[in-house]
Amino acid sequence: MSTRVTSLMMFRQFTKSLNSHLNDMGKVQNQLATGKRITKPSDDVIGLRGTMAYKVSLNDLSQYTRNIDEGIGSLALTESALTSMTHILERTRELALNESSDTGNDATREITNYEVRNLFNELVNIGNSKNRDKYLFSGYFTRTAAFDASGTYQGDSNNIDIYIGDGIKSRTNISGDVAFSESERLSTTSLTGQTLSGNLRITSGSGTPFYLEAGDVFSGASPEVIRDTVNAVMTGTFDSTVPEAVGTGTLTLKAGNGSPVTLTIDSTNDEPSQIRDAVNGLNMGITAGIFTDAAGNERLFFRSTTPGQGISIEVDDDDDNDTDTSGLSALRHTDLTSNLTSNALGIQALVIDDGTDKRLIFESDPAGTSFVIDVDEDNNGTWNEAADTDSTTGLSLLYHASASTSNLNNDISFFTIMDHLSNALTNNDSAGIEASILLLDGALDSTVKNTADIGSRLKHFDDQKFRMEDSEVSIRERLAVIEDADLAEAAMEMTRIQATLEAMRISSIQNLTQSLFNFLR
Amino acid sequence: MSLLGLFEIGKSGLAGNQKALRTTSNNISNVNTPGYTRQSVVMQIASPVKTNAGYMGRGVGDVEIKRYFDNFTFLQILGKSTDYGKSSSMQSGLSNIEQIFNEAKGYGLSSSLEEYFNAWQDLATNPEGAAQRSALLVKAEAFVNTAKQMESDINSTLKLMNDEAVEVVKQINVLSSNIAKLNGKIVEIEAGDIEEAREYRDQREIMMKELASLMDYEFNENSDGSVIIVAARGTIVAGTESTDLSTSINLEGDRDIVYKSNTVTSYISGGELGGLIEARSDIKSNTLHDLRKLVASITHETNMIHYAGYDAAATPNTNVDFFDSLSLYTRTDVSTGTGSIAATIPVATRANVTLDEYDLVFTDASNFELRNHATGAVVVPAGTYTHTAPGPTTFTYNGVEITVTGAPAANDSFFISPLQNAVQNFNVALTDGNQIAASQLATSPPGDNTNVLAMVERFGQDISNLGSVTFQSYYGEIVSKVGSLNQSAVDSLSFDENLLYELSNRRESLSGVSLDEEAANMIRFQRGYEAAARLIKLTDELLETIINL
Repeated sequence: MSTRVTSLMMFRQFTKSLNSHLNDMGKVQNQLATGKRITKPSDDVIGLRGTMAYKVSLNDLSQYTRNIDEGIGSLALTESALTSMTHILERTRELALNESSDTGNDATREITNYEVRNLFNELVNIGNSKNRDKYLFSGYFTRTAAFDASGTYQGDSNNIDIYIGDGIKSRTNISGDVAFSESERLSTTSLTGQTLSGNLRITSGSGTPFYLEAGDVFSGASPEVIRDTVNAVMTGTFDSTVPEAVGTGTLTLKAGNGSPVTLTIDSTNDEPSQIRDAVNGLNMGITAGIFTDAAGNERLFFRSTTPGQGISIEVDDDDDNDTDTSGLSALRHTDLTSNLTSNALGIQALVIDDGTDKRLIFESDPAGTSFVIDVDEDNNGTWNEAADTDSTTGLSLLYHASASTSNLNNDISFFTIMDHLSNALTNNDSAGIEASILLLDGALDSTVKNTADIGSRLKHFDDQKFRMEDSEVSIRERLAVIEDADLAEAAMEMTRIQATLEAMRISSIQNLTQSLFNFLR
Repeated sequence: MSLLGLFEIGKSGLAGNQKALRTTSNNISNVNTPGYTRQSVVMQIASPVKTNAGYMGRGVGDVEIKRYFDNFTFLQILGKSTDYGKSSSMQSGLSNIEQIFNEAKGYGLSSSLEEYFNAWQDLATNPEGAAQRSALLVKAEAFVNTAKQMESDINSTLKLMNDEAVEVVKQINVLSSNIAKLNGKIVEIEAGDIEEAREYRDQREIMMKELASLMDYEFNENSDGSVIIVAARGTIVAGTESTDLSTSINLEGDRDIVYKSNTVTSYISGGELGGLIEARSDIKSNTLHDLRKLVASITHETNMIHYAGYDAAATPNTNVDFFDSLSLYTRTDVSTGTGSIAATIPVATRANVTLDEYDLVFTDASNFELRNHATGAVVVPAGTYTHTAPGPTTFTYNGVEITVTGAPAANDSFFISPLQNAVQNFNVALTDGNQIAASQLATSPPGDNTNVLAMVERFGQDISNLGSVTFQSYYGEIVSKVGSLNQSAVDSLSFDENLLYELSNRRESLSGVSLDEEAANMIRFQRGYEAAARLIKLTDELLETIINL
């Protein structure tokens, strides 16, 4: 038996289909109006979850891009400040080089000093560069000028980091104490007013330790004396167990442009300590001393009592060879050739004097070799007692065991260097001017390194920004695939539904009006 | 058999067809009446009479009216109506919630959450900026307001659902009392006669179907024709008696369904009422709970980091919260003794807070256990601490300090939640941008953004209190859950709707009135009637012929 079909069933079938098609039409209409495929979470839960995650990523990308732009602003300003700084340092070095030669004199040096003072002020201005209202070089103290007029640093050494990607933190600054300091050399704090007495033991790399014999220890020495001692010209090695081995003959000593003095060495005074005493007894501007190395070998060293002055020692050796390294001729030292070893320690010392403060500066040679300075301030034979390593007074200010245990620091402010040059120019001090050239070289090196560091960060930020822009495009594409309606398809769907509705209406009218009653007359 | 017998046969034909015509017209006039069951006449042959010529028919005998009714389809329709009622009320409640979280249109928390995080990022690049500092406070404020608005929207939806439940209970009561009345009428009509109380049964079936769409119930038809209806483990209709359901407000502020002073809410699982109860509990235990947990977690994590930092005052302050600190909500669920509890989150231990809710249940007057409210797991077993009345007894679990005082009795139960008031008490504690602790240094130099970086880092990290996902993806999960709940409600609604449509068609196919059929019947019975009348006229003529002989 077939199913009975009543008119109500047909009517309900019609309304149900009508409703369902109108419902579909409403959905397509909504898609066409909004351009979106998903208009509420239940339309596509997984799709919406995806779009939400993508939107979070997009927001992150735009936030990181904002951060990066901010960072680029700060880094670019820093980079240009460092470039200007390089120009100032180069100009200063050029001036120092001009005035270091003998052609420089009081008058030219005074004029040059004006320019150096101007360059100094310009450097202060660069140090106080701002990004909007923030000082670039003050570390965290962005509201405080990095340097005062005398070049004293007023910020801290903190790095300012920002996020430029998920979990990627990057520095956007360089603090003034790093950017305006040369870091190749180690410097003491100011030694002005300090009484420098006692013994130093200096070991460079795995080389020979240097310390003074009892008779030579510092007693109220000036920084220059310590510098000269460290830099002093030194003899070859003598075995202290065979003191006679020095040999006999005559030494002709000459300090600077002074008159030569001849000293006869015979078997009664040929021990190193006797030679030292004989030379010192001449009082002719040359000081001799002895240090003992770790192997117990005694070494003679000579230096000029006038800082920076050259000395020469000519030898008439009784062994009839006046130039070889055996016998007394081991002490031969002229401008052209020398049997004395210069700077055998591997350390060079400099005194820097900015007019008020004097500092000792140590530089390893070759660069990068580590060295140790042990101190015996009371010269009691025990090194590095508490009083020998304190960081407040006396010779212990030179104590240096390692980078972390040291009274020396490795930032010599550019301003100190310029003050030093200025002071040397005022005092017509050629040696001081020459020292400043060395320091300016170091300053330029440091600046080049810092500029390269900032430049590579800037590049990294730029790269990161491009990467963000790339990701943004691809995320937007993926988002569009999930979220956006296919308008062409929606429009076709619309037409299809309209056609169906029309067909349904026509057929339904005919069906619903069919009735047997129409035929009963 | 006499000639007069022909009159009787003709008369029976007239009466039978007339009755049939009346049934037909009743059908035609009820063609659009909902719930009407098609009737038809069943004519029976009258018992024959023995004559000389053998047994002779005596025309039409009894005319019975038959109802085209299928009990099996009816039961199926009742069941589906219950399902349909449930999914339609669930869908309407959940679609309201879905609109609150409609991230597809940009409503919801996502954008204000992003802007809040972005404001921290902007502060990280410019910790000294007064503009960035006040922008952060404004964005935090906006985030707070959005969260509060969302909670209040959810609560209004819940309130509407509770109001709706009260309305539905009223309708149920009206229906059950009407069914009871119809029971009386049906029993009355069907008692004396073998005839069915067709119209009353139709009415009762309509009401039972309506009742089924409101709540799930079981019923049984007695031999006298009355039905017994049992719903929510209570007999609401028995014979002519009906028992009303009522509602009461429970501890959580929701409407409970009450039958004879017993709470029966949990026994109702179908119909509109069941749908309201289930949707309400879905919303509370998922959406509302999760939203509060997200806000509580953001409050907690933001404060933990902010507290450690230093602000931008001339003399930098530290140990200050960014948002009002989390407070605990406590509720007495069962109290037969005189015990009470207090719970706080001390600053010293708050790093350990897990944002779980707890129940403190007394096993006897001095021993109690602490249970995780969500999982039911015992986290502090009975006997760990002993309470000696009147106390106070204080203990700390996961950063929450609980103090018991008074004399509680066995089975007394207290509820402790860090979430309940998390949104309500969600406020920015700071009033001035300079109070934002951007620095981790006690001197708080203006360019120090380290504390802000720590904050930014935290926002990108997985948060253990949220099940090790980020804030953003936790919120994404909330939206997904809302979407899934509504999606399944929409799916089952359309499934139930289609099934109900098919079942109604099946019923219509049997019980519905077909006008064509009735038109044909009309002609048939009209002709039958005309013929019977003609027979009487013929008999009259025959009699006349005889009389005129």
